[in-house]
Amino acid sequence: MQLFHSLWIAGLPVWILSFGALVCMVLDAILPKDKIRFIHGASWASLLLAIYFAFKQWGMPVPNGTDLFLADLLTQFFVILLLFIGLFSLFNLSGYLKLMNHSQGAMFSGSIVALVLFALVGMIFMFASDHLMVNFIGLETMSLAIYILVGSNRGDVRSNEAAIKYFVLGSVASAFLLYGIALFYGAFGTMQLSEAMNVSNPVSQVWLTRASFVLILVGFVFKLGLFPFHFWVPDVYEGSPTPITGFMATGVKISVFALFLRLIATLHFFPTEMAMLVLKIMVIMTLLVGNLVAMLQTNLKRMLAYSSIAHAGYLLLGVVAGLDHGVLAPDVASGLVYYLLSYAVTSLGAFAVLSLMVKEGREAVNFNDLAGLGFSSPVLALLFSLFLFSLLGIPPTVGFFAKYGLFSYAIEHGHFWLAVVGILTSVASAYYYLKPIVVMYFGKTEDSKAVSEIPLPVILTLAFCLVAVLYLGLAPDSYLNMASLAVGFQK
Amino acid sequence: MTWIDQHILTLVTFFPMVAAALICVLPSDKPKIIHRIGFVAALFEFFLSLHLYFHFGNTGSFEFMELKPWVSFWNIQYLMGIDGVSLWLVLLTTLLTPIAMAASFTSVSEKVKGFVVSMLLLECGMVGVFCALDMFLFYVFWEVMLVPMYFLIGIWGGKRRVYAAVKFFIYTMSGSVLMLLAILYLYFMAGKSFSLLDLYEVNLSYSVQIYLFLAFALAFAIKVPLFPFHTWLPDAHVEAPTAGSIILAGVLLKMGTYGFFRFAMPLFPQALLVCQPYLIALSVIGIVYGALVAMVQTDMKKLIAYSSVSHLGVVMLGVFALEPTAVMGGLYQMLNHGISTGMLFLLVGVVYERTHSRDIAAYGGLAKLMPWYAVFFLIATLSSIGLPTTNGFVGEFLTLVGSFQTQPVAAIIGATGVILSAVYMLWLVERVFFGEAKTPIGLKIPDLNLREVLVLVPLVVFIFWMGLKPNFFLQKMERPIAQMLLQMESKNPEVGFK
Repeated sequence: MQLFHSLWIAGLPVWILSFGALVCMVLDAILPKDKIRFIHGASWASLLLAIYFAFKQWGMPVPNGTDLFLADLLTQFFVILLLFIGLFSLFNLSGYLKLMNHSQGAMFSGSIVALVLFALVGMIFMFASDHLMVNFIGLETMSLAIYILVGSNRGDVRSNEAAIKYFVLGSVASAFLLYGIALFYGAFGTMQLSEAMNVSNPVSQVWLTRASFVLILVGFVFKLGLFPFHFWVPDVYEGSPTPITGFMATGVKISVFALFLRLIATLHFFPTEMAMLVLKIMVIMTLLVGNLVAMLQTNLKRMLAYSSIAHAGYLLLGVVAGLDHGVLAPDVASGLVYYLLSYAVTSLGAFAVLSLMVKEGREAVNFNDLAGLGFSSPVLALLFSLFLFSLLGIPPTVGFFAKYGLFSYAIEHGHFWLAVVGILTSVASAYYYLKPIVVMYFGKTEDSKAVSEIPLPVILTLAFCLVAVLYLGLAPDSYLNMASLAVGFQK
Repeated sequence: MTWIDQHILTLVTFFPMVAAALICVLPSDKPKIIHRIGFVAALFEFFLSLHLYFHFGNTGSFEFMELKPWVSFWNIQYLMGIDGVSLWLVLLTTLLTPIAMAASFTSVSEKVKGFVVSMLLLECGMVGVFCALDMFLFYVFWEVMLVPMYFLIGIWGGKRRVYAAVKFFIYTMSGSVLMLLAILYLYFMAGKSFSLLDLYEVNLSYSVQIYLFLAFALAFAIKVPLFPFHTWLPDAHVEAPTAGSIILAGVLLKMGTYGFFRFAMPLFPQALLVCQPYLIALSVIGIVYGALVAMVQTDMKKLIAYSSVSHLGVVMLGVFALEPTAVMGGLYQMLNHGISTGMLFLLVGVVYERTHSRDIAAYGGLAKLMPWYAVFFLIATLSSIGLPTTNGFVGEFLTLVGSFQTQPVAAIIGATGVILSAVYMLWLVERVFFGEAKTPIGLKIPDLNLREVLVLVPLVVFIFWMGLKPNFFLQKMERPIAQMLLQMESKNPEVGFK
């Protein structure tokens, strides 16, 4: 009873979100079209409330949990992070909708706000459990909501195309994952990761185990957008409404990676040299593909899509660096968590800027559309430059420390050449991260109409991301400690 | 130690940043006032940095040290301190920045606020590079400085500014990231410390030294620039606005030589001994190649840019010769180059502002049209080619005399660079200032105005001061140089450095 009670409390953010989502749907049904701001207000209120409770619980883990729901420090950390991502994605979304609705071309339903909340619930369930079935249900809840969100701009063909593409490919990936889980059950006799950890599986089942691991890995590689299953990323990122792209780049990626982290931290997922070799090849190819193809892009969203592929590659680089005979070193795990934090605040900021780039009811997110922004909206351009520098990893931004941390762990654990590849591809990335800055500042200075107005919620996002990028870059200590606390790493 | 003495380096480093932040919030519709406020801030910074000179103890070790934990999770410290060499480099930086800003009062008329802010942030980064004694902190300043320079070239530069700015950024960054990996490796070797004082104590195996030295040397060689890594320099110099060129030539290039002196050489002495012949060869090639290429240039700025390659070759020859006199000459020449080449770029900027042309063939007989201008240009030229009584003479003389003792062949070939520099510079003067009078805008070209004269006078003072009273400057550098050579010797007991 005691445990049930404490878990009920621990799950409070999720309950609030679910309830908030339902309220939003009801409001969408009963309110007239011009009162959409109330739906936004309701979603913000539920998120703020959830954030409040999540913060109250931070540092007070429920150690054992139940079979199905965990509330350890790692979960709490990611819950807080995801709730913030959700909040600022919704801020971006409301600003974006305001700009889009100036024209009749765009057709959005008010229920997409509710879908964002549902996606968040799915994300939280996904990594707040070490039972593979719950993980899968969470993943599907999230994915279904995201499929709809991707296609939510019904008037836009590319949005529809992206939704279909993502739905078909994503379902195949889910099938792989599910099949892997089934084999996992066959091999271990349980779907509980913590139990499977203690099962010593007989030799005859080694291939069963490996097959299940490979299939599960395929599912993750797809969802994280790593080489060789990254092809969907640019199309889907380009077609989705910009704030949704930002939500996917941060929320989906981080929650899936959090689950991945839990998986490899609990089980010896990559025990053999062969598996490590495959991972290393994936890291190098992801870094090369992400960073080199990004150079060729002329659309900002596609560029950021390839950049997000590259960032997933850096995360995998950290994983490879930290794995020793299948065991993930805790210091590296803390570095990965910090990297996710850094990537979240930076990407959210960058996508907040892109959300503002709307012309006559259409997104205008080509490089040319940025022309002269440096002088027509100096503050916005400066912020965008700052976020790009952070993605690139120039001090004193948070991106620098995040990348630095991963490379330093790679060297410490003897993967010197991997660090060299990582750092050289990150120099190559300078080429495409500098491009928007060139267009914003170095071009002709005629009056730019890239951004007509900046709605208040987007200003809040930008301000938050600015403070986070600089503060985490200048005084990263407390958050590094927080990250290592979350993964249980004692210095 | 007073409070000021304990915190002076922080004040000097971050004052420009604070000033830049304040200027950010000023309204941007009064460009003239912003120009002047920026200049006053930079001037104040110069006077602030004079405190360093007056309270400098000349003990031979680092002074004005400050130590605070920064990121204790990774044991990164805020460790600052200067010795006699960095003292002069800091003062050179704080001297050239207000001069560069005053020189841009009229030539930069658009986006003035961004310009002033970039200049001040650049100054913060540059001073930080010379003061940081924690390798991580050094790297942070080194990278931070890249961004304002990138904007300076890209926004206020010439026609091919985008190409030049991106090239500058990527060249510098690709060199420095490998240095970051080497720094990280050192950090683990030193038991997780970035402090230079700890790193000096680390004993590294021979092969590790080679790799790490190459990583450091690449970063610094690109910045100097040593011979095959110099291609970014003419582009960046030609496209940068006058102020950018002054700072680039005057200070940024010195970071490479300073990096060799402070980090790459004392940290990896054995590796240096192995690479020494190659590095000296590259320096000497740079001297001759830079001079020869400078000779055939038709663009004044490009000519001076290539002359920088040549002059920096002399500096590196002196530093790599590992002989106290030569090292001192090299480091002295480094300061001289900052003054004289900075002044040359400033002077080219003066005519460019009037005519929008730097084509040498378009000018002639300027000595009649702009007599004062001709006088100043001639002084800078003489300093650049190393005429006795000017600073250039002292630097080149010490370098060549010193390096002749350990590297006679290189010194002899290097000495031809001095002759060649006289050829291309005097030829430039002859073509531009004598003969039939012509300019791209006709014969009515105004001579220097009062502001320009005032900007140039301090540089002239330093040219003669450093030429006539070199001891005033050299005495502060003697001990750090001896210290550095001693440090190298202690790691290489079998080799003696005299």
